[in-house]
Amino acid sequence: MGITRRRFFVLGTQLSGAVVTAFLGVPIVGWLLWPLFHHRQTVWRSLGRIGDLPIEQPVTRRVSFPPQPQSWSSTQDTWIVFLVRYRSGEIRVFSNICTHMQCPVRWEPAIGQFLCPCHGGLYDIFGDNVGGPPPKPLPQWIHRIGPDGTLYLTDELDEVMP
Amino acid sequence: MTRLPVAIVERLAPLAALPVRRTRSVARRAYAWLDDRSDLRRLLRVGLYEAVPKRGAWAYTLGSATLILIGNQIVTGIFLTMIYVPSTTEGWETLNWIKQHDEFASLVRGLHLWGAYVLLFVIGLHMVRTFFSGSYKRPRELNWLSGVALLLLVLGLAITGAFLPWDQAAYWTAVVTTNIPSYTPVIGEYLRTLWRGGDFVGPITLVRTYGIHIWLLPALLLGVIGLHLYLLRHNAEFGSYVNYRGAYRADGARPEREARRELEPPYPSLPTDDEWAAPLETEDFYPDQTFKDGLVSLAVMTLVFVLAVTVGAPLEERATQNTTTYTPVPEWFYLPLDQLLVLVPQQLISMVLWVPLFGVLLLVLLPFVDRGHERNPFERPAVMLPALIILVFMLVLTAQGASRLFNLGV
Amino acid sequence: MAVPDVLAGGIQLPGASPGFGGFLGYRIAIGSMFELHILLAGIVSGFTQFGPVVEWLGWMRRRPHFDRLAHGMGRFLIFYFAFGAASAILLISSLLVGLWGHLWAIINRVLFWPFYVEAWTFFMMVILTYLWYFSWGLLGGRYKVLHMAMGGTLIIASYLQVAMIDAVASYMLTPTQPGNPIAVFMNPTNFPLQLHRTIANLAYAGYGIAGFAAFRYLRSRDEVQRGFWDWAGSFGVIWGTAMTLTQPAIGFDYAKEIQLHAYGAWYKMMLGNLSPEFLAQIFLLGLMLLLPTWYFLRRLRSSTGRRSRVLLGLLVLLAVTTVFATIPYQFAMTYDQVQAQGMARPLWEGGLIFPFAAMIPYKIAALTAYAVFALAAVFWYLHRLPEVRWGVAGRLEQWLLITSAVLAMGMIVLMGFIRENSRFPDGIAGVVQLHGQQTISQPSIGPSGQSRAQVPFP
Repeated sequence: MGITRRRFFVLGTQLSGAVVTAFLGVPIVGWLLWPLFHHRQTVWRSLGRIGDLPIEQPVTRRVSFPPQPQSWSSTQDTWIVFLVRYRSGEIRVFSNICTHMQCPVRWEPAIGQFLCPCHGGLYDIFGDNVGGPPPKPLPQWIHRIGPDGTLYLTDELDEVMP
Repeated sequence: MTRLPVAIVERLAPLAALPVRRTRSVARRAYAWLDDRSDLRRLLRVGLYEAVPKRGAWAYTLGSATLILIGNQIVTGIFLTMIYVPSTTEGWETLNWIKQHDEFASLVRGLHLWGAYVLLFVIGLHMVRTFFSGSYKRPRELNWLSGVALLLLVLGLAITGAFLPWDQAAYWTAVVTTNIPSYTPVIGEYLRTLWRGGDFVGPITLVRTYGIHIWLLPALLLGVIGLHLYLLRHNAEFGSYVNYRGAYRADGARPEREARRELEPPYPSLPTDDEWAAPLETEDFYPDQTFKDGLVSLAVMTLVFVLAVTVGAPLEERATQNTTTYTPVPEWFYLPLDQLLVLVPQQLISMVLWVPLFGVLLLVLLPFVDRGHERNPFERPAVMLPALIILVFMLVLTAQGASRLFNLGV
Repeated sequence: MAVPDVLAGGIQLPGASPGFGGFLGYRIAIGSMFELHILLAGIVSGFTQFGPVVEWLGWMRRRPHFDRLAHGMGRFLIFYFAFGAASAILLISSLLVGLWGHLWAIINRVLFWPFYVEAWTFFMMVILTYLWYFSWGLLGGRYKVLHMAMGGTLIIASYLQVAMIDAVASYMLTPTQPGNPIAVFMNPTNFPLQLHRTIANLAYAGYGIAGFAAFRYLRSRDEVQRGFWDWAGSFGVIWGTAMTLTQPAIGFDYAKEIQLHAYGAWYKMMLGNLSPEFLAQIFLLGLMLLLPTWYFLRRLRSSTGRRSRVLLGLLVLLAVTTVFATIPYQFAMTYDQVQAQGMARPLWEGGLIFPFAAMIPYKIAALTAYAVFALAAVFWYLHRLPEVRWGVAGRLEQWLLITSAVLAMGMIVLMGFIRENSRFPDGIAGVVQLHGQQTISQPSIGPSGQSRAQVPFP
């Protein structure tokens, strides 16, 4: 007992303010944080049969994925993939996304390395970062090779180099 | 000024039997009616007839030039929202279409782009001027801090605006810019996902950035501008050493302050607060200062207009990720950071975040570090020399970046 | 890239002249003359660019001792400009044309415009320097502004002169397509070199003033004179340190461009047979920031009686980072030797490598650290400057200043030695050798300028 009239009004003002803030805030904050919790559907694409790839010579192919992040947009995004086959028979499927600032990486035959034009980052034929500022090796797309030699790709990057 | 039209009308009146004399009193009566209901006359008097120092007034025009340029951005921006659609497919199409078919819309876009570039330059000049004249010292610390907030908001607007055209330049700017927060320790990847709306840059990124650029940041900007202008009027414009140079007392004697400057080492003692009261000669804000402001703003806007007409706003080819030939080139105001990105090795890569943050921290702490009363920049070497070194360092990084890009052939 | 058509027309230059010691003799003759020349030219460039600034500062602050210092710098220029110019003439007309005529003719043909403009800037520099000094008293009082404007023009002429010679020096390291004057001037290492040299000349001027002032302080008997020289020494060393602390960043950027466009030279300096000299350079740089900090510490102590803890802490940190930055990466002359012997392992695994001395990221961190510590020291000293009493400095302080000035000269000489030998045996890297033969070994430069050679680290 003993709450003054003035105190009651003050509390009432604060309470109504807080509730309105909550009404506005909860949806907005929820919208803001949605990308962190939204589970994407992984999409698989086939790149066709991989015939004989040259040894340690990257081959450039293009693959189309639905746009990421998933949204209303229906146009497909086209990404570049570098296919490299090694003497051991292993095949790696590199994306062209530099691990420094995500600029588009390209293969430079004259120096035998992948070059990122933005800041001079270099990756060798195995995808290891060997020059310039990139902190991690060139990322690969998660992929599988079917028994008949068809290459399947997902639109997810494998963050860990094998 | 109103005499000429009245004189003309008076000459013509007999021909048209127009009632002449009532024009003036109608205006006067309308004014009196408004004043009675809103105290308009006092508002105008307070707003227009503020006393400003007579000397040093040209340096003060940079602030109003910045304001005019921001006004330009807002007005051209409002009309651009009726031209441009924030979509990854249609955005580029709208801008490409106006480039080919609608010269006036292209001109509006040109004014917006060049207005932005000139604004960044002028806001830098304004900051350097206020730093030089020690205008961050008591009681104007809040002016300075709100100014730093404005600088950051304007930079944020410039960067988010660069995403919108969704041509190759814009797309790769978006990719690299949204990637920078990912180097924050622990939460970096989450910050990047929040901004992009996912793992990669796409339609969600564009529409989100569009909203930030046209509403969120401008709303904050206008709020802080209001604060900045209020504080400016509240703290007045006196105190810069330039206001006093050459000023004489009414009795013709030179002020004591001048005499003390002739002393040999040790350095002369610093003046007290009382001396930084109103200088001996002032003039009215309107029309004396507004004339100077108007002239400088006119020059700056003419520059923007000329650039918009002759160079215009470029539009590269449509944005595409799958390229092996395109070299992303940063915006010119980004060059110091870009050059830092080239130089910093991968183990120290978070330095790229810490260096700008440290710079902002220095700006924020400045009024609390340099608390002396001395306003003359030549008597504050402890602050001026390190600031000069840092400024030169940034210019050096910008120029090195430009030289490197020139030699890459871009 | 082929030797320019200039000499493809079949003009055969006469064979090289009188041997004095053969090819090595030529290199010693030209090298030593060049070292003397840059010691003099550096001061001339530094003083012509810094002197008018000192005069202007003195005018803004209304302190006559700045004016006196600037006037003294002008007097020095009058005495030594002619000597420096004469050494340049000896160098260019006699030694370079006579001993390395073929190379020199090519350089003068390709870089005609920079040399031509430079000659005119020299013309302006000579006129302005003499006018600036001799009209000092005449253009005082109301006409002081005119005098300072003349000084401003002198700064511009001096800067342009250095810019032009930098175009030549940088072209010799990273040549571009001759025939296009813009591309020739804007070759990749021109701009970084310009920055590096301009700042270095200003720093050298600062240390030079400090050393000279210290010398005069020790010899002066008069109270007032001692006060003046004490102040001049402090002023000079503040500027010298302020300029020098930016050099690690500027130098790193310069080295990056060299790595991208002249890989062979870069390798020699960083990992090859010039790497011990380069480490010595890093050590000297640290000393040149450390000794002034010690000076600041002692100076404040002489004036106030208290030792500044901040400066003491910074001094210790500077010493630690300097030592850390100087540790060699490979405990052998060159990295190829280490690799050839199969010893590319850390010391504690029986190899010859000390991993914590790697450039990336340890030396970069150390260099950044010592630049930041030096900046903090300069700030702190300036902050406490009002407490300093002029004329009470001790002898140690003055010897510190003299040592700094001597070390600055040593750095310049060492840098000259390193830069010329990094390009050896080429006169224009990848194009033509010093004695005019076309280069045999072309450094392989990729499309982005990156070399093919495998580097152990970026």
